[in-house]
Amino acid sequence: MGTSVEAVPKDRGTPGYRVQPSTASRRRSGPGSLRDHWPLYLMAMPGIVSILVFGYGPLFGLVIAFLDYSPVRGVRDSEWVGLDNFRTAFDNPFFMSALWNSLIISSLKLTIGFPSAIVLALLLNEVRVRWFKGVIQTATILPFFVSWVVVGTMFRSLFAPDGVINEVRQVFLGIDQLIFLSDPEIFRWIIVFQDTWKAAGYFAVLYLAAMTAIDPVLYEAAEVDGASRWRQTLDITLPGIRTTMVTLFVLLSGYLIFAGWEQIIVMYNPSVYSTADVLETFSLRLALSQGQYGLATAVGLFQSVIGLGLVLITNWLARRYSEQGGLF
Amino acid sequence: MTTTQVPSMPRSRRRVVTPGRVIIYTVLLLIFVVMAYPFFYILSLAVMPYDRYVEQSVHALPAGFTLTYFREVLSDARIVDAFQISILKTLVGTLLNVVATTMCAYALSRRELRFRRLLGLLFVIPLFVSGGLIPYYLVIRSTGLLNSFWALVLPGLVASFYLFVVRAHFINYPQEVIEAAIIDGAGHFRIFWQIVWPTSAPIIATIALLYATGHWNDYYWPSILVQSDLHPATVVLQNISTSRSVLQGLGSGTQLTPQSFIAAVAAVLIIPVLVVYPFLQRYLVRGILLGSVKG
Amino acid sequence: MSQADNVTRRAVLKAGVAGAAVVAGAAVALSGTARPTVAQDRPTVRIWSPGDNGAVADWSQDPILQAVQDATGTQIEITKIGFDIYGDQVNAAVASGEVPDIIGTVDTGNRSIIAQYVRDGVVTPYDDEALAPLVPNVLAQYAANPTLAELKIDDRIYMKPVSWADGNGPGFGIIHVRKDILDGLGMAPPDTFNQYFEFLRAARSAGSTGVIFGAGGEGGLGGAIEAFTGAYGVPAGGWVPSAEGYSFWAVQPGVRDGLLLFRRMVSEDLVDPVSWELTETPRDRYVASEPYSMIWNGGGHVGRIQNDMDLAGAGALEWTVPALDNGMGSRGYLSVPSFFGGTFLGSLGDNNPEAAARVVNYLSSPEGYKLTALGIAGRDYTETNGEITLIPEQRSLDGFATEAGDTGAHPLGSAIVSWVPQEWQDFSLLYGKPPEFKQWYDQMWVHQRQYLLETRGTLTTSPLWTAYSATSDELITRSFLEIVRMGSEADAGARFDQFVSDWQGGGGSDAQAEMNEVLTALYG
Repeated sequence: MGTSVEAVPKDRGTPGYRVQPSTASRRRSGPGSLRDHWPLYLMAMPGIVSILVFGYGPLFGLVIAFLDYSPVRGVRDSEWVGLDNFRTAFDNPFFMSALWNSLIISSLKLTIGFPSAIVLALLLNEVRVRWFKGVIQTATILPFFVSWVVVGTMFRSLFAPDGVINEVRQVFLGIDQLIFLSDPEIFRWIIVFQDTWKAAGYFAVLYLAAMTAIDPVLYEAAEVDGASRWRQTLDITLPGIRTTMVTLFVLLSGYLIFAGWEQIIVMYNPSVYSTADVLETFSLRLALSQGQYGLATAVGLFQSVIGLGLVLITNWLARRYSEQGGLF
Repeated sequence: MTTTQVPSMPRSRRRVVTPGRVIIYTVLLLIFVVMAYPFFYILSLAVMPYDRYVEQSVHALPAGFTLTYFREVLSDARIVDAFQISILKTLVGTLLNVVATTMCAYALSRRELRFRRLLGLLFVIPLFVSGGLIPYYLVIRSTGLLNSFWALVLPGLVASFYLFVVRAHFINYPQEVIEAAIIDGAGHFRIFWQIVWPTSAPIIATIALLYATGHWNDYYWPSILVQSDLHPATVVLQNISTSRSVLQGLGSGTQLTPQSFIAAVAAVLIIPVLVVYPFLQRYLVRGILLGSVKG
Repeated sequence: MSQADNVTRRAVLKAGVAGAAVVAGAAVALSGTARPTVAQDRPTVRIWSPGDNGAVADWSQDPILQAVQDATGTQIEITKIGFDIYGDQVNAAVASGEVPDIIGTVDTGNRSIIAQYVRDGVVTPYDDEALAPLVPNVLAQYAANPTLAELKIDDRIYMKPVSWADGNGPGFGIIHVRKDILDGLGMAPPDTFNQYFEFLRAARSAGSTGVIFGAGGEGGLGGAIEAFTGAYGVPAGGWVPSAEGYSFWAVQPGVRDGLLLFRRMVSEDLVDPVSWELTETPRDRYVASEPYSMIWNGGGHVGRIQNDMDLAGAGALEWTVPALDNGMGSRGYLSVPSFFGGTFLGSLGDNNPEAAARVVNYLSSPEGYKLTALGIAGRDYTETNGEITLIPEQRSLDGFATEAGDTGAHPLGSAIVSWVPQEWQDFSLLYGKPPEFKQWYDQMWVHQRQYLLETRGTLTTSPLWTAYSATSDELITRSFLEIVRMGSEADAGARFDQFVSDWQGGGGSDAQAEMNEVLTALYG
């Protein structure tokens, strides 16, 4: 490297070491010496420490999945149990149900939420009245910036047995109360609807951005050819946002095994565990109320591996079958 | 990827009222109602006087106006405390996030920094592999942050996405300006604070907003990382909203419906967002687009 | 720890927005050293317990705490943690290798966690050679109630039951009705389930939303069905003796009948649907608005529910019904020891079990109970010829709850060794009340204790049961919620049979065999 590193007496004020640059690396914009540029290293330090601790720390923590982990004994003194935790997890009657629920909820979110955002963007794209478009966009993006807790509270008061939806049903339609949030079947759909409600505007922004990048000449030419609006949408707009669609689809598919636990943990209750308990909520209960850290980590690791696998598979599929190619 | 402004005025066309257009506007209007009604409902409930609430069997529309519930919320020490924590968490947390992120991004954008590719990679890997919830929890615990205010602000000090976004901005920053300052003998700290930072306001505002909404809305980790005296408002809202239990703290003679009280707490969490949102939407939308760089 | 955090938090608050960053940096650096100074020669005892600080504004200025410190020669730091997250916080503390000297009210039902504490030496037994002489009051409690022997681990006493009374009392699923509404309908308080349903029906058609309970919380439906299984002779907890030995309560045929009875109530639409979504029973809802009946805690809550009703000012009257008859002369509430949770002594690194033991023992002495229930003699109350007169102004200054008729406990005592002993709860609930109230109060107490079904082994465990109990709990929670909401009785019955086979096949049979040995050794 052309540099030599040597220890410096502490009283020099520079942190730790000093790098003696060779003359070759003294170019003006090339890498410089620690002595000259120590402020840069200092500036990077908080970020680096943060990523090491909060980004990499948990990766080392994964070893817990193979231990009969006792927090008091720590990683080093806990007993190594190999794949026992995984076996125990797979044998647990609630694990399989949590796995299925994760997959079902996120598939539903994908099949409903994904097209919803595209439809919303296409609709917005047709709007010429500027203020109208602004208002709709504001309203559709807003939920994304509101806490799940607030969203949960709003939905709870709408869907509660004594909430406004049931009031309307009873008073105007004369139908009985529906117990939305503790009915296992309905609950799932509410989760999907809520997620679409919260995220559609966000994704629509991405599609709209892609639509602005479409060359207006294409539309003008189509108009000259007498193509209808609908045809233009099919032939120009949709192909124009295909890259964005593929990208998002690949990303979202990678998340198929992650069903959005923060949303669920705010909304669920034991009455709907059978359809709403997902891998994260299941493992958090194992860890926090039963102290089974090893088991809970095994569940999390299983999920991460499947998640990574899914990303790779969908990416491969995207590369294989779409002109746009995959993400990487 | 793209950092274009949100499309506001695309291709120009003549304005004709066609059936298709009527349908489009109607559908969008419906979407608007579905999107906005929950907000509208919670706000109308929060200001609905008790007697009006009782006399109606359907509470879908606003009726009357009172600030009683807000007064009750703001005189409940537990809730006021929680909002203080929320505000502090948002202010201090965002400040630390922004400072750490921009400094780190600046350093990583400078060619004088050795190993900057390696360091960049350091921030990429965690985007793809994560340890999961339990190891994350154990890490925060082992840092000794548990049960301190810092558990609310320090984890996730620098988010990789935002770091890369800001670094890209700094790489595109006119290098002549910086070079000139270096020749004038300015140190990196001075260059950063006096030259780069003031001229990067839009990007800084954008990530600041994203960090701030994250802090303000944060719920799950605060609920388990700190004790109740450090719980932010989201956690308190969730607790009273799932138990619908409010009477105890309120003392005698209060005529309150838990519904309205809970709505008022939720409203206090929403209102700041509603107030600043229209002014900052531009930045938030930019933030969304920046976030999509992750691919 | 949290004292220090409070200090930094206050400092940050004061500094305001402008200086926040600077202060933030400084506070990070200082947070480790910002502990309050400790009196020189006294050992520090750190206490965690669930609940909130109540009327105590500043523990360091609290005269009751001061009195306890002086009596025990210690310096006490108290941290109150909300009930909802207390368990998580304790586990987190254990995991971090630093626990308080006194850990109040750990859920004794969570045996797998407690077993870990013991195995890893996180906690120390009270009957340890060095500690035993310091805690006669704790040991006496065990001597007074033989059931508590079940709490022992490896034959040692690790937990001080956080109790309100000696002996046993009713469990969670006590049925309360609104007497004022009964009167309005011209009905007598129900004595059988048929009468009860009839009342609910009448109330329902008068606009009530039905009976309310918290199905989503711990002890939710599990607690709510106590009177229902009790009506078929099965206590809703522990292990039931039979010809083949002890078997688990939830798989008894009587539970099936109890669940079907509960299902009848659900299917007739007599349940407030809000119940299914609630994590805890909202007393205030019962008190302030429509529901005409509630299934909730017994214990010392009789007078307190009425007290809440008085606060709401709706003229509501609470009535605790004795366990209801199923029409065939069978009935019962679950009988359990009158305590909730156990208090542990930490024994990690810098813990001081001796000093902690002194504090626990003092707080559970008659003198200590009186101090935390009433205050300091001559300051918070006066006593002449056994007649006690409270001094409300001073008591409220000294951190006692002042809302009329509340148990008036000081937050210091509650949840460490006791929720105020029943004797003093009675005192404060009856203080200044007319004789009719006392009469009613006594009657309600008779009602809830009238038909108690004894059970065994609610407190004890075996290795296999320790491993299986969490799965068992979750199976019960999920299955029972489904069963009582099934469309038809036949489906519900079939679902129960499914539950029994799931329970047995999942590991219940083996655990049951092992528990059998444990219980036979204890009870024969």
